[in-house]
Amino acid sequence: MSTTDFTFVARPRTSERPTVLLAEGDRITAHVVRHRLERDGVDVHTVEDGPAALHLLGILDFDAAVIDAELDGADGIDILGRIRGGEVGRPELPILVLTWPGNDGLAARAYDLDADLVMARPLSLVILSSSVRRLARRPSLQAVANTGSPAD
Amino acid sequence: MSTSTFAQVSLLLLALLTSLTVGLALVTLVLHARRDRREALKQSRWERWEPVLLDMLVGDVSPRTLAGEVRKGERGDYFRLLQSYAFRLGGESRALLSEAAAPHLGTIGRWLRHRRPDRRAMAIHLFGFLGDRSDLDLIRPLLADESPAVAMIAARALARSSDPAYVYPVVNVLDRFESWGVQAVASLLTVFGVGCAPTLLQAVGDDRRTDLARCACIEALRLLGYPPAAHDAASWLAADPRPPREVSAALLRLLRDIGGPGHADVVRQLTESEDDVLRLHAITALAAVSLQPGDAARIELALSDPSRWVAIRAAQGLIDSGRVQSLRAVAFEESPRGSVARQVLEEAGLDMAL
Repeated sequence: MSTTDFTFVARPRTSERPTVLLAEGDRITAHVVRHRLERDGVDVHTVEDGPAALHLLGILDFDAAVIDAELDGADGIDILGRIRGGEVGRPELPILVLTWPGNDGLAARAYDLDADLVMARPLSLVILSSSVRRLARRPSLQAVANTGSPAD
Repeated sequence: MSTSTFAQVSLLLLALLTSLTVGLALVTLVLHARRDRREALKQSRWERWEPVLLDMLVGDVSPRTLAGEVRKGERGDYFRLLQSYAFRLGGESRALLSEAAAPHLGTIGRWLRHRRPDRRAMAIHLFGFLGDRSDLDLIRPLLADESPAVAMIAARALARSSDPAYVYPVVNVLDRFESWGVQAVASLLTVFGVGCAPTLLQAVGDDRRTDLARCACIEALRLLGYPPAAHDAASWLAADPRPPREVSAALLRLLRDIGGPGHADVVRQLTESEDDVLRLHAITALAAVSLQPGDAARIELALSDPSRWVAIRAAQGLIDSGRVQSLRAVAFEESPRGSVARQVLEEAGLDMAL
């Protein structure tokens, strides 16, 4: 009986501790998500409104972003569109959008703009944290260009 | 009245008004100060508990440890904190919050019978979010609360449990929620999930219930997309006597969304109803459930309906069923139906070119 030799390819890590932007206007959600992510080995930069999120995206390189769909100043959907349009940050930046319940239209708009994941409150912190860490492990196009394909 | 007496009365009145103004200003200041003090106290308590709560949510401390931080007289603020988090968190986090609430929930049980409706409402919220199955039984009697708002909050809390055992008690009090309207009541019922559908269907068939209750149940079945309801809806519409107008209209809306070609016969009959409202809903439903050429002709004929609303629905039905070309052909006519066709094509952002 022959045995199949499975080869598991570990996803490359962008850094030991991924860096994530958390743009969340709701204080309690921001607190609890930040605490959970930091506990799970993620460096979190938190901002409360859209303009601050755009500023940080312009000056720092993040491995992933968690953005509330309804931020003050520039809403999360607008920021998502600007990132995907190459106006700010990396266009392929993995993005998780947070919404409030009963706003399926907003969730659909986020997916239309190529959000990687949309989660509505009430949130499961375990699932949110593992989703963010999975998204943050995705290699950037720049990293792939520098090192060859992830499977190399 | 002499001049001096008049001056004295005026001065007296002025002094009285000034005293009253100063008194009211003082009362306002005191109330503000009390509210600020209360808010500051709540804030300081929350700041004391939140670090422990966050550690609890990641599994570093037990829920009992957090519950042990709460002293007598602080429970109201503690529950407000837990409720704020419970509103945003589900899954395993909600279970931890419930465990942290459990040692103090006895206090809240008394609030369910409090004379103030806001206290009763808060107690229901807390039991609904943080209590377990047995706590929901404590909420159930509040469906009959003297305040309809409290009863509505109780109904929502029971609906969030998704427990089919509570569907019937909630359906039985739907008439109390008349001021909320059919859509809001239907939305409440959908919170139960599709598991409540058989009970809702039973309620629709009970003609002793009010139109509001029956319409809300039908609308909830439509929103839940419960296919077996379509067959019953068609049977009720075909019955003699037919259900009241509003109920029949709701049944037609249900058939529009979850009906199929097998229900076209009964819908077709209602396109000839003398009642404008029923014709209107029947035309829309027929466009959704039937692809037969004969029905397309019937819908096109309805463009000349005496009621402009029915004609507009017929035009929209032609667009929805992919018969835009027929509508465009009519749009060139200088007639009332041509005007309807042009209006609907324009509203749908479609050009008139054939």
